[in-house]
Amino acid sequence: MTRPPSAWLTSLASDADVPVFVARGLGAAAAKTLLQTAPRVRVVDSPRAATVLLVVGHIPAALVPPLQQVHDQLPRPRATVWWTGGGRAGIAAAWPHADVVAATGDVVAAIVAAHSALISGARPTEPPMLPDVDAVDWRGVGPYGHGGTGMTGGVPYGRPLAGRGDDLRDGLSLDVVPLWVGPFFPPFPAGFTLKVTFAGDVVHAVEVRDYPSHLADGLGVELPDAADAPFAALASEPVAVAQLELARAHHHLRWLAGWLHLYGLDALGLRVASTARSLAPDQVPDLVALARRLERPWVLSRATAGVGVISQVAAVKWGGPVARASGFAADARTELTAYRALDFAPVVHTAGDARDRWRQRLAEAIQSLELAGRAGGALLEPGTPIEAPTPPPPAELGALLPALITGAEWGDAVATIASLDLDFDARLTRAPEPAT
Amino acid sequence: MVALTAFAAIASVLAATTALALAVRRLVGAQRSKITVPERVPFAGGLAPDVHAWNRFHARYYVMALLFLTFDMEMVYMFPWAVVFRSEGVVAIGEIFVFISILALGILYAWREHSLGWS
Repeated sequence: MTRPPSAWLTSLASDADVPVFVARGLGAAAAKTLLQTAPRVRVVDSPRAATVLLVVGHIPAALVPPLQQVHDQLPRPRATVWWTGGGRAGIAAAWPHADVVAATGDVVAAIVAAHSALISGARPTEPPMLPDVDAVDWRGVGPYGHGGTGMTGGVPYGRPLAGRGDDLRDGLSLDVVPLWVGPFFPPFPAGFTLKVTFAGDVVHAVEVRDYPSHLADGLGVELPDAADAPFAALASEPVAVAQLELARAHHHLRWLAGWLHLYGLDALGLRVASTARSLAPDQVPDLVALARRLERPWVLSRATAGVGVISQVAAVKWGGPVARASGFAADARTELTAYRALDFAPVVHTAGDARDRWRQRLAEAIQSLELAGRAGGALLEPGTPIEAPTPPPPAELGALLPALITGAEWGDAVATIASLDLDFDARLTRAPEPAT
Repeated sequence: MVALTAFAAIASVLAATTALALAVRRLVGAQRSKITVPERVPFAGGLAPDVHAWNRFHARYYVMALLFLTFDMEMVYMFPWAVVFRSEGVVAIGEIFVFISILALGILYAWREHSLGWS
């Protein structure tokens, strides 16, 4: 900045909510919902709309170049805050400007402070991290690059025009555009990268390119995940049924808050996220009222009906709530004496679409709260095979996912992926689930 | 003369707004800075696109556009009708209903053929 802005404007600007883009690394599933309920912070879906880049969790070396690209996509002035438990060690040299907040630190205060310092001019904007050079030279012809013979003469910056592909719907074959989506695309799990070929707004082909299990180069310190802690603890110590079921409800509600955000229902999402933060068995009526509200046709029901249908046969491979939403009533809890004493029977839906998947998770959250209320002091022995809130993604994800979203419109495809609640952190940090 | 005064008022408001915007820009000390290549790349999660964004895609809303044109033209026919319907009386009202019904049948047909969905 050439000269300091007026004090009045500065104070107005630094009182505003801080738009934050969250780049999630590994072991950071809880971060987004935590920020959703935080005051003074507004989580945005594109770095273009953000002032502060918040990097959460562990960033493996393979994700550093995309993260630098995302950093440069924030408009100036910009600042970076790293919220890791020390996982930044390996790449500290690449990120000299960022504020680092410990896993237990007050990240919201750090974000607000960085924003105020930027606005007042006390902190200069971070310079671009990547060099100002094109990966490939300009080899275009004519003013827009594609001159020459017809429209296909040049290859500006090594990017040819899109090729033609067969149309999936009515046979009018037009261009198909391959595009990388991820690894920091907000609706996707951290590190999840797809190569999507678009024909207009329709997914023409899709290839699962990468997910974090391929990227893990030694996990650093992770942020504590309140939702999954009791399930991890059960491997070595006895854990109360009530505690497990509260954690399960917490996990599902946290997922639901993100899901509502995806559909633009931020106020409802905020309410669900706040509920999830302080869960107690007496909140069942609140959740039942929420379920009734979401069932109203124009709220969420119609938009999600018929999206990403998984048949009962295919659902077996997905397991967990996804399988139960398709009518496959398998749940490891039915085998346990502690749950038999509570008359546990799994909740099941039958349509297997995205609507039944959110209904399933909300119903399971309500059921878990009821169970937690009735369980008393019942304990599970260490090592008991318990149903996790969401199972690890199936090993054949690379084949299952394309079959599910090819031919869908992009919005439905994103919703389908979000509705599966792919939790790669589970695969990384927990032992494999026993077969149900 | 009255019309000219109105134009002058609008022009001065425009000029004042522009001046205000420029003044605020100076006040907050904004300056044009060079945008680097990585800053220009469109956001899709952190990776750069391989293919140019210029492509031909199927404008699936064309049926909607055609229907819109149809009913836009219907309005054009209704303006002269609106001028004369009081002098023509009940007959004019009956005739315009026949006209609209024929077009409405077209909409119902398009609906039945699923032409109103984009996908």
